[in-house]
Formats: sequence, C-alpha cells, structure tokens
Amino acid sequence: MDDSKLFGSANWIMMLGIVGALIAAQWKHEVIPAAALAVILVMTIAKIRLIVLDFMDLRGMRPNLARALMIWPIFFSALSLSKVVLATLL
Amino acid sequence: MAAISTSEERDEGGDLLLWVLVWGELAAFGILLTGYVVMSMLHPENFALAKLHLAPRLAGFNTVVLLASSWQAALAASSQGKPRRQRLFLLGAAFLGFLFVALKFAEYSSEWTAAGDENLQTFFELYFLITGFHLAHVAFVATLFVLAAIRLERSTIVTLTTIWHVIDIVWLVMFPLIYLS
Repeated sequence: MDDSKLFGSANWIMMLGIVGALIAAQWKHEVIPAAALAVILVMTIAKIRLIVLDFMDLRGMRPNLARALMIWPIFFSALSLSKVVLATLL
Repeated sequence: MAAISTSEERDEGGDLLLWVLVWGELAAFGILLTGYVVMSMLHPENFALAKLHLAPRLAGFNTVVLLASSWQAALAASSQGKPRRQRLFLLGAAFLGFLFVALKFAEYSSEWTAAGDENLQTFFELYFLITGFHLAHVAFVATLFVLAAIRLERSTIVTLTTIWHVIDIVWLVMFPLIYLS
C-alpha cells in the first residue's frame, strides 16, 4: 500500500481513536450510558476494520482471513454492549 | 521430496507460523476476556465499585498512543528498500510503545492502593493479569522493534508489525470492555 493511502487510513483511525477517547472521558466516575458505549464500540469496529485492511495490508488480498480477524473484536464488542444493556434492563 | 526447500516454500511456512501465532494470541486474550466477563457478571457490584478506581482518561490517551505506534509500524512495513525510513519508523513505533508502557505504569501506580481492598480483589487480580499480559507483549515487541531497526530483515519486520497490529486490536477491544462497560 502506498504512503498516501496509508496516511488517509491512519487519519481516520487516529480521528476515531481521539473521538472515542473524548467520549469515554465524559464519564469519569459514573457508569457510561449504553448509547455512548454503543457509539464507542461502533468506532472501535471501524478502527479495527481499517487496521486489518490497510495496516495489515489485507485489503483485497485475503478476504476470508480479514473477515475471520474481524469476528474476534465484533464478538467481544457485542458481549460488552449486551452486558451493559442487560445491566440497564435488569 | 526436495531436500532443500525453495524460498517460496519457506515464506509460506513462515506465513503459516505467523498466523498460528496471531490466532494463538487472540485465543489467549479471548479466554482471559471471557473469564473477565463471566466474573463481572457473578460480582457486578464489586466490579462496578472497582472500576471507579480506574483512569479511563489516561487509558483513552494510551489508545491514541498505541494507534499512532501501529501507524508507524505499518509505515515501516511498507517502506521496503528504504532502510533509513524503515529504521526511523521502527524506532518511532518502539518509542510510542515504550510511552504506552510508561503511561500504563503511571496508571497502575494510582490503582495499586485500591487493589488491596478485599471486595475489589477479584476485579484487580483479573485486571492486572489481563492488562499486565498485554503490557508485557507491548514491552517485548517494542524491544524487538529496536533490535529489528538495528538489523533490517523483511520477514522479521512483517512478522513484528503484524503481531503489533494484533496487540493493538486486543487493546481496542479491551478498553471498552474493562474500562467502560
């Protein structure tokens, strides 16, 4: 992958990272609302997708491997969100 | 059967080994994180109380540090045939990795006192185990980046950068799971 494309991806990843950190920082000693956590988790998945496709250089190269790598974070993000949703509902 | 394997065969072997290592890491962290989730469901009050002693702001900043380090590693991997640039990016990735370690130790120093509380012990045992295991990976691979910058070799750089991205992915999942949810 050439440097300009890598730079573009890195920009997105850093921006998502900074915004995610800023959202998380709004609730220091309180329980974070499920909606805010959902936003952070969606951004986490987006970051990981860019890392897998562009940083690991798997875009268009090994689609099955890239998909398999994405399952791991999606599973734990879903677990994380369902834990908070269940705690809110129960 | 050929007595001597070709370089292509060796590459495929190395590639397989790399992905075995990657999935091994993901499986190990997966087991630890699952254990954490199960325990947090068994002791929800204690875990919620213990989380008040964590520093999500510092951890959020550390996420950005690790992402920047991952970018440096990706640049190093894509700079084949440019040794000066490659060294610079590898050292940049290593520096940011060590910065992550330093910030994590600063975070630990404020959390250490709360870990002695009997009610919070289960949380902190798991917290130090999971984040400490991750931290050991960061420190180890950052050191290997410095060594790789001294002796540039394509396969080593590809292996290290791939492992680095996996360590990054693990942290990205760990951060909301442990600090926020």
